Amino acid sequence: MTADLSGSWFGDRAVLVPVPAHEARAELVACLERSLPGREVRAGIDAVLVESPRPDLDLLDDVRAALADHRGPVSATRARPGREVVLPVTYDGVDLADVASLLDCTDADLVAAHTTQQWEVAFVGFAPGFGYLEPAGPAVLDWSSLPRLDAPRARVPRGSVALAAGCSAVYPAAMPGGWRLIGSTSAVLFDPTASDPALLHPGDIVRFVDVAGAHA
Amino acid sequence: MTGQVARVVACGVATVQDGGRPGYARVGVARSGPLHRERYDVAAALLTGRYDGRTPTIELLAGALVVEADRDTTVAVAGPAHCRLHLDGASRRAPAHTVLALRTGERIEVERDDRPDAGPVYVAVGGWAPELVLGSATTDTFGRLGGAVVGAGYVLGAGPADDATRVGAFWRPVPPETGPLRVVLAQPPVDGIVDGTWRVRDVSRSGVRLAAADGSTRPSESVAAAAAPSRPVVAGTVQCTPGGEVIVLGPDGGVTGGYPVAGVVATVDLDRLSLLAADTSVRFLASSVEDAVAAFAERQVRVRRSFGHPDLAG
Repeated sequence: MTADLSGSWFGDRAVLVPVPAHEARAELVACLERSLPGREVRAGIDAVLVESPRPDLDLLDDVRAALADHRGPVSATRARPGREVVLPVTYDGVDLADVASLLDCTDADLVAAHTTQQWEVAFVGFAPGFGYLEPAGPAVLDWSSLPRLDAPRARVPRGSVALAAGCSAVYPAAMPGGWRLIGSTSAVLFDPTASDPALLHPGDIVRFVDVAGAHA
Repeated sequence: MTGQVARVVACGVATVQDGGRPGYARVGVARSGPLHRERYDVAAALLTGRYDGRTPTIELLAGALVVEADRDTTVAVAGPAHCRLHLDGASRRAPAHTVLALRTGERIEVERDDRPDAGPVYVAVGGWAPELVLGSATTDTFGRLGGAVVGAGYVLGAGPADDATRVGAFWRPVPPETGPLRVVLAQPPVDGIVDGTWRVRDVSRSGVRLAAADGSTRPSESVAAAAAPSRPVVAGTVQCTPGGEVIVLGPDGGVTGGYPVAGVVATVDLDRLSLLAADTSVRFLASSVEDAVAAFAERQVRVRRSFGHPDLAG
């Protein structure tokens, strides 16, 4: 892929910036937000997008100027240090046994691996408060070998803890979804009436705790 | 001022929409907002003189709408050129695209143009201030935030909103753009997008689903089958599904998507997506970013010059 690391047009009011594997998305997003007020910045797995409210011929140059500052010798400092978020989980998901089987381990091994693994919020997308959690540090199990369901479910319950394609996630609300469900949490992932509506932010570290195991 | 301005007496398919919910994309919240931004802007500007996207409207997608005033107020309606209004039952006809006075107890009926390509109608009511969620009244049907699905009995609550002072101000409808939908193509380009004819399968706030008009599977299966990682998307993104369909995302199409992207529809043509009728044909035309930006600016000037009021032409 000959992606231009300085960004390219995505329609007439947005610019897509590929993110190299070594670059921290959360820092890049924070830097672009600071440099480009009035434009919206959001991340995906391997790219960050900047969107203007209206068609904007200056956007590409503005993004490139901000990137040059960010990737220059004096890199911007981290705007918001990642917090640790602990999520209590009941490992009762309907796909738990299937996932264990696909990962060639027992249910107990899967729960142990999921709670041992530290997860970093790569970005929040898909739906309000839906964080894509990537393994922070070495993967305890081969999470990336786990595909999405062949056909998404029409309704995944709120609080479902899920795995797919190398990531873990928690469904903030009941919605359609194609990830594999291994448990559930009572934590509130998204509250639109709160001053900070989302529990998870890019760069946060998430640890899952087995509620049942804690009482065993 | 509190209490209520008006009530919905009868309603087809409708939601509350303002200019959208910017500023929360990084926590997964889409901007959402009106399907037809130009009509929304016209209704809002007629009523308040502002283009800041903060004026609430009822976005009517199907059926009729009857609103009864609970106090003296003003109403501005924007829709297709032939959109008809009735005051006091059917006794008085009134034009759309103007500011009308509505007295306590009077009813206004919006009769949607029944042609399948009529598109949405926007109704702005003076003094109406619905509850805001994350700064916006918009109903995000995908993220399930804000506003409400409007139905009979819906109360238009009053707040400290400014009342209209431009009774009689009007707007002359500017005909919709015609020809193929302009699209800024992704690189490398996806085969089959701009040289094919597409049939509209369905249209919703999430997006427009298109199938190849000749029944063939386009775009090339190899491209569509390539699993794309979840990447950010915007309204107008042209996605290719593994089944060979094309989905053009609408305002409630989500903030990230996992299908390969063929391009993004030019902003000037986004409103036209809401006018597409099922089983009609559409084509795409490759556009440069420069041409797309210029076309938007030109249309904006034409729209603003069509206001019959000096305050609104700016």
